[in-house]
Amino acid sequence: MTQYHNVFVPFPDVFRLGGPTVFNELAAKPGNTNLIVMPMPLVDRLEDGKDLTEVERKFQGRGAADTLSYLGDLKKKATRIEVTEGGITIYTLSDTLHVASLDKPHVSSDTFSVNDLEAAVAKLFPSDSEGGRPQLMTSRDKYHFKFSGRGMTVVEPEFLLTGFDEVNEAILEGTDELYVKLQENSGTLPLEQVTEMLGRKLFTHQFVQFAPTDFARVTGEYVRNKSGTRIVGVENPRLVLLDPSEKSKRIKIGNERPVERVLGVQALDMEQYIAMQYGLLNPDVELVFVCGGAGSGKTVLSYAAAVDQVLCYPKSVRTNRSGSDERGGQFKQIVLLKPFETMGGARRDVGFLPGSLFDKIKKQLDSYADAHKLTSLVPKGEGTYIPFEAMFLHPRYENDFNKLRPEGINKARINGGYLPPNEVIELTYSGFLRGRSFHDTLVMVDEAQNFTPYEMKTILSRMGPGCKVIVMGDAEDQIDNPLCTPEINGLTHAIRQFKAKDYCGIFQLRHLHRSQMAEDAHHWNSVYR
Amino acid sequence: MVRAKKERGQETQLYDLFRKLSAYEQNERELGLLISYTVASSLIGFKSESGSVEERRHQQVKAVYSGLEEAIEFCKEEDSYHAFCQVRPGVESSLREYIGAKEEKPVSQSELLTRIFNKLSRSNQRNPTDRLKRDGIALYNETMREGQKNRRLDVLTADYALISSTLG
Repeated sequence: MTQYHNVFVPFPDVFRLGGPTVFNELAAKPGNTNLIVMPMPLVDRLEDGKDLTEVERKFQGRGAADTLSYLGDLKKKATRIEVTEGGITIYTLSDTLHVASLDKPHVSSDTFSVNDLEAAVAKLFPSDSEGGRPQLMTSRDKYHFKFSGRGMTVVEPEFLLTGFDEVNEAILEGTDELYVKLQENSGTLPLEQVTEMLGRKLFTHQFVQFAPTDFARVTGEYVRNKSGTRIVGVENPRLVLLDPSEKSKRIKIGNERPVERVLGVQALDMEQYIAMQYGLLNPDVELVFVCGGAGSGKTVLSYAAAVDQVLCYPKSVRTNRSGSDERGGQFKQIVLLKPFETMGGARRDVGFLPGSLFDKIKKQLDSYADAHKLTSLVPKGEGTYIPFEAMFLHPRYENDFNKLRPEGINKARINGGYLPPNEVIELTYSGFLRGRSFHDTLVMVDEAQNFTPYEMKTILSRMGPGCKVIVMGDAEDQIDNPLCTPEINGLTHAIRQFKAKDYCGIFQLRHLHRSQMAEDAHHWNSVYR
Repeated sequence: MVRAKKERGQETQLYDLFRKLSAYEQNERELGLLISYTVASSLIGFKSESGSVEERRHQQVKAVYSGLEEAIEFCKEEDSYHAFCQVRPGVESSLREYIGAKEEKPVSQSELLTRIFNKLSRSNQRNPTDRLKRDGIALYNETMREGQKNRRLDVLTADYALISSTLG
């Protein structure tokens, strides 16, 4: 029998968070082989979710289901299948990873205990590490406490763990020495030199801060593929000091004159300006992370920038904005993704609320309705009032809302442009993404900290050419999904995966525009008191 | 017999001091920098009075409290940026000296400060400010998450543990 380097027994929570990617993550380095043991009682839990509370079951997403379908296909994936006596089947997935299914008589759902399982696995598959014992893998503190206390080896799924610190990668602190060097070199330094001075690698679209309003950004010349749909590299990467005129926080779109407001929304501080100018409205940044606490402005800025980019402008404005003569807006439509289960999950809670479909979903979209009111879509003086509901209506066909977008609104001139000839916003639930792919769409992923890492991976893998994704969240707080923690959640996990990509930018809104009362409420969730 | 209800004294603690500081500075970055630099600065001149390990720890926390109180006063009189400018040069010159020293020697009588400087000199020699900012934000968030504590001794021990785990 193969001598295994590490033997893992992942608990169902690991698959719920990581989906089938767990199998790739646990493969050994070349030269060694790891074994993942899948005891049938734990596979049963993946299916029936009996180890979850009712609330947890609502949030579990597709990680478990996709793992089960992966296991169903193991036969096709394995290069060799060894069936041994006593309900053990070993699938050779690669030289570095085997998967063992363990059934009766070694473990049975009727008399299952983790103690017996651990002892059985240690006897059947002694490993090179951990004194020959298997490693039980779970992210749940309760199981760590319980099984470590019994002398078993319990490990965290390290590949899923990311610290809140990932968010701080958005803006680094600069040094006086670097600032002086930048000034001496007309505000520009090759990235190589900056890396040497700061003693760390910097990424494209990363910012360095020297004083409250002094920032520099990492940029370069983007190299695209022949069709122009992908950024394949950045030439001449460098750190460039922001122009002093940018302290006025006026936004410049393409060759247009800098403006104070985008769709009526103004950047209140430098971080908001940077997020708008270099992230939300920057065509070179296809994946934008906007992180900040409640009241930092992430929803308002993202909403205004998103709507601004789907409006259809006259030819002269279009050319000025993007240099392109193409018809329509920069994006066809906005797709809004929220992790709330009520939008169509297992229980379809919306059915119990009174009113039309819009009335039912409106509760979930209050933050956007509030953001909508702050834009020029709801003019303070003269101009056409565009109700929030109209953003979900089609001008020519009745959609789920059984209404048409009013004619007057179709012809209304907003910010020099017009609403697109389709629904401005489509609202969807992450569970409905299977089989879909988006093109020329601006996708807004809200409350990303409440998606599991696997759900985030599923969402981002749906993006076709011409898409821009705005991921908003606050990993430090506001985690409602009981399966997620500040260390394991879709937001920080995605930042870790994508931060080094040239098309990705992380923007942190650190100034909280809220009252002392809101600040205190923000820290209300004290569990230690 | 009616027993007089003991009035709970409002003792100083990180939670209250940070709450006051955050009223003057709402930007997380500035707040994080001000907190970590003030903590380090208030430990630079720390001189231990004799006592047990626990007492010495409490004395260090008290030194941090008075440093933060001074910073709050500065914020009141000037602004938070001035408060930061007050502590920054001292911390940076001590740190430079510590990193530049050929032999490892305690930076002050505070083992907490030695731990903070050790951490900075290990991984962030060329850019310690970035680490101090991140750790200052973490200390602020952790303190606010834990909330207000009630008993004096617990407060000092808990606040020491918080500073030690985030900055040290």
